Amino acid sequence: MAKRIEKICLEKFRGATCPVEIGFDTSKPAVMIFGENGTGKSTIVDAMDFVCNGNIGSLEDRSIGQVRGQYLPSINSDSQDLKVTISFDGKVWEAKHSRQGASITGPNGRPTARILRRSEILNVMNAQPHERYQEIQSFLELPNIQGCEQKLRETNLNISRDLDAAARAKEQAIEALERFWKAEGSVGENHLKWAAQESKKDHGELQNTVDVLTSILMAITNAINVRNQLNTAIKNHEDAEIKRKRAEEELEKAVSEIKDDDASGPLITLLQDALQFLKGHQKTKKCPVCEHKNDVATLQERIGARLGSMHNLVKLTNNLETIKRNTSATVTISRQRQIDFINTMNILCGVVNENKNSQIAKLEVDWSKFTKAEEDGKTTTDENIVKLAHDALQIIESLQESTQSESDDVRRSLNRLNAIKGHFKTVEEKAYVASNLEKLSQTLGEMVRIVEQQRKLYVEGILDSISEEVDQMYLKVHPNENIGNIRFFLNPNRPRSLEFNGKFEDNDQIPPGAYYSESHLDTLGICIFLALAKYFNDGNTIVVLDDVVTSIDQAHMERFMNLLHEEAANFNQLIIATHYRPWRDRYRYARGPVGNIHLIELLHWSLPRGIRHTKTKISVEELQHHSQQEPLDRQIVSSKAGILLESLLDHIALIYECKISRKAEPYYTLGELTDCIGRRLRTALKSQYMAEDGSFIKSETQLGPMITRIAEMSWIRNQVGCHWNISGLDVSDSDIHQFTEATIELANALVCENCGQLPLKDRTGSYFECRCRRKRLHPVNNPD
Amino acid sequence: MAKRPDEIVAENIAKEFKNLSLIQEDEISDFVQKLSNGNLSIEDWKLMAELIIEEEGAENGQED
Repeated sequence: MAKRIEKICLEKFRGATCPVEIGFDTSKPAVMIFGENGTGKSTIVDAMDFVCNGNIGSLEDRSIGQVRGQYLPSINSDSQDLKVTISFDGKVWEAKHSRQGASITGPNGRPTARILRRSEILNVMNAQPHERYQEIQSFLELPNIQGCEQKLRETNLNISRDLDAAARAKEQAIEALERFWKAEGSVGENHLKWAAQESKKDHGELQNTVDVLTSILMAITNAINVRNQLNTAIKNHEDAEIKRKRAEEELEKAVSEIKDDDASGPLITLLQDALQFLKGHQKTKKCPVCEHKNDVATLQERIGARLGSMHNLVKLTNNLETIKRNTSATVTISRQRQIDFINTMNILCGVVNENKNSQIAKLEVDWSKFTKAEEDGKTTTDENIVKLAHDALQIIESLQESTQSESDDVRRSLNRLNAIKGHFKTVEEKAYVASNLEKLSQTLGEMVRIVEQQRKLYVEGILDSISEEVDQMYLKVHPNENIGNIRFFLNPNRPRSLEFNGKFEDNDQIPPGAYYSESHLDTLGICIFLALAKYFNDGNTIVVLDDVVTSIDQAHMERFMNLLHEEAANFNQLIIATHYRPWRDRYRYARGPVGNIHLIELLHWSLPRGIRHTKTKISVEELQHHSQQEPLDRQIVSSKAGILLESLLDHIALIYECKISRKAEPYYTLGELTDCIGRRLRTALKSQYMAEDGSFIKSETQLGPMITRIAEMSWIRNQVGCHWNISGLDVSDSDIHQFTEATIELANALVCENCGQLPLKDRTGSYFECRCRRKRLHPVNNPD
Repeated sequence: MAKRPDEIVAENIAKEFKNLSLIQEDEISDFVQKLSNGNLSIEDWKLMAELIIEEEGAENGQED
């Protein structure tokens, strides 16, 4: 059995000022909550929206400020007292009001209430395409697929960029080769073929020449540097010699000017050494030179005094010593520089000897002498060799510039050849890379195409399915009216935009809103809603229609009711809230399958009593109820029996197209309705109640005698139930009971015990049958 | 348990890929799982495409 709402309890929720519990008959797929305006229908529907969906219901659309939820509690009630409880499939959920909205507690499996309110029907129709899309966005979008598709597109874009870059690099290399080719005089067929030839050339010889010339130039530069260092060292030595001679002369002159005959450089040196010795031997008791006994202090004092008297001489002596050391150093350095120079020249000669092609190697220089110098070792200072080296370097130096120029020329040729090889290699490499990237891009492009295609196919499949469903439903309500063919589609030019069109007369693909009447748009809106709810049924779906019908003609009403009862089978439960009495009364008088719907009637609402409800009695039950009351209310019973009788006979007259006097308004008296059922039809009229599987007749009733008997008693309704007259006072209670019983008997014979509906449809050509097909009415044609 | 829309579409995509030799039979299950869960990265797609090209190249090589 389908999962259904068993009951809903409201406390301090909008119109429910007092706690109210509404139980639903779960054996029936549909519930009708009937109530006049202001009796609490929307409160009950909003309570379902609140506890099932966490929404604030119809308040959402009202212009009552930003915090609409504050009006959910009943007037003069506290928010914390609000509570809505729902029982569904044996489980219970409770919703309370919080600042964040509904706070719902309960197990998993809460019902989903798909609610259509009157105010929303035209919203569906008139909504902008993107708003309409938003309504079903969650069902159309594939977030994971779309995420991966985005990554795929990015991959393809990256590859395309790489491909462009490779193509650009290849193009630039080709252009560079073309420039080289033209600079070379456009030799050969074209620049690429020429470049291919050039690239095959061995650049080793050029590279070798460059290397040789570079090494010679480096050796020359090095030799020049070393020669310069040698010259500097020689100059330094010469300067040092001059300084030494000058210092010696100054010292000699100073000595000659001093009276002390012993004063001389060696003496000063001796005294200085002695003084230095005594500083390190403070315990000595005698002179370290003559060995006479003397104390250290006295000796130091005397030596100091002697040195003091020769102060200038001491200074000059020290200066001379320093200069001598420096001079000695310059000699060493000069000798080392000579060795370096010869060695450097040796290296230069070695380089030159190895490379006979250079212009330097062709010079008339006896390089072998440098080789000899090398063999003599690094200490050679042979002036001849040094001179020879100087001479040779002088000659070589004169060729340095031209050698450098030659090197530059060869290097340029080498660079040009390397550039051609490099560009040609780039052309080949990028062509290969581009080829691979192109294959990659094609493959990824194909993948993008398929992913997008399959995603769209899925969405279009849903929309086609919904379109088909809507169209089928719509045609059931509006058959042969040349409208329908409703098609939903995504606007390819506007993302997330859901559009639909339909047929009007012979014009297809027109926007229904432009041509359909308001009532046609109403039913279309309901069909769209039902189709969406049906497609997206999650197994816990309850469909609620809140006052969606205001007025509708009889034929459409009948078809609309049939549609709803057919579609109710696709949901767990269909709940209809309406104030439209003709709809409710069609069930009361068995014009609809009352056996399949639980009828609830809301009573007058007041602040102290809140929402109240009662079971709607169908007319037969009501008549039975009143006829069993004591004392008997003669007028009520007669009147109700007459109305029920009129309803039953009207149905027979209608389906058998009985002959009856035409009137401006279709109001017929009870007498006219009984009389129009002719003799032959009365004889043929019989009802059958079939077994559940239709395999055999469970009961059969001849209706003719019943109708004849009722016709004989129908005056009772007029005399007792409708008018005041003397003869009516003579009618006994027993006569009224008989009239009532005959009416109920006829009703029971005609109305299906299972679905509660009168036989209406001619599906077989043999009889009329009710919705559940268990009640049959014979014949199918009026024999009169 | 009913399949999620992402799973349905992922399977359809894999089927099309298979028809066009854009995926190998033994890779389908992993591909569908990753695709339906939104776990295919740029590197995954690139690698997939490269493998396909490599596979094609190998086949062409064999034919040659």
